[in-house]
Amino acid sequence: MANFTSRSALATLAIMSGILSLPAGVEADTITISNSLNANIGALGSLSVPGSTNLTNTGTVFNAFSGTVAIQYRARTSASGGGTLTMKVTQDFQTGGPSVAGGDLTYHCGSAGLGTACASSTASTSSATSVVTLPSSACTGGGAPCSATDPNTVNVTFNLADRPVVKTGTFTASIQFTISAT
Amino acid sequence: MKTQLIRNSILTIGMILGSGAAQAFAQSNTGTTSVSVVVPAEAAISITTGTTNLTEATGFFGSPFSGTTAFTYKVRTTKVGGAGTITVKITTDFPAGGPSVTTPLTGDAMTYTCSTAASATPCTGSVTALTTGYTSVATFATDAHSTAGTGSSDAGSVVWTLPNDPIYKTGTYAATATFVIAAT
Repeated sequence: MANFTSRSALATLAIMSGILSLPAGVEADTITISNSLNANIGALGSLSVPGSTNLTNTGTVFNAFSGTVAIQYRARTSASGGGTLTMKVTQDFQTGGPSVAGGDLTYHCGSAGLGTACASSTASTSSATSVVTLPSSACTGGGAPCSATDPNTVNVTFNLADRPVVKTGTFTASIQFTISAT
Repeated sequence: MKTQLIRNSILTIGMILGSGAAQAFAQSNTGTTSVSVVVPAEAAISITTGTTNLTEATGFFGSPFSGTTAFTYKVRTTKVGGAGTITVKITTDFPAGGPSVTTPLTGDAMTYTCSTAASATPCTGSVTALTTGYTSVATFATDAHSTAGTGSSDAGSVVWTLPNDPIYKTGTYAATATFVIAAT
């Protein structure tokens, strides 16, 4: 009887010990959970232009002045969107000098690293004029289906008429370039 | 309780990340460059008369040989302190036996008169042509400008007069007149 009592006591004690060895309320189990992550990647455009450009001519027979601006840009357009890189003369040359409003300044574009470059155009003080047209699903860098280079580059060459009526001196105009993407 | 805790976590994460469908939005970026030009004094001239023929008007020795050389020019002189000139020199004299610019017989010097557009002041009166140096055709003032327009030019001319001396042998005699335009 004593053995039975002891054995039962030992079993009870073992069971109680087993119970007492686990923290209260924790179950040994594996939980799997899934969650969707949404990254909103939108259309984007950015550009960089030099701070200043000088127009020069050769000879002394009223040859047109010329100079080139290299524009670096990056762009991403949506599958249903597109984009533009445009320019506008925000400040014309000073009085007595050449006149953008009078049609003295024209430009043409070299090949664009991304998109279609402009044909020869006349600069304007009243409205933006085209430099590059971006297609849908356009992207910069990394190779096909995106452009090969990062950033992209387009050279804009300006030609300024050298009219005798213009006074001697230094004249400056400001040109603003804008890139937009959708 | 465990199930309730997990359910709440899913809802919380969904609210943070899953709100709204993926959408395209427009972005713009601008950059400004200054474009500068230094406009200098400049001048250009073009002779529009290929060969100036000196002819006598009436066929009498008292009638000198005469002819006109026409030219066009463009000019821009400096706004402050600038000036300019058009000059001419006989760089090749008539050959022997005919008239001479270098050593004319008495009374036989070749002379000329000038006319220009308003952008210049033509030479005054009759000027004796020389082979030894340039003589004046026109002068330009400070801040002088020829006609506006990229393709436009102003016009001028020189009228030559060569006495018809009987001592000259018959024949055709040619000389060369060189014009120079300068602007500062």
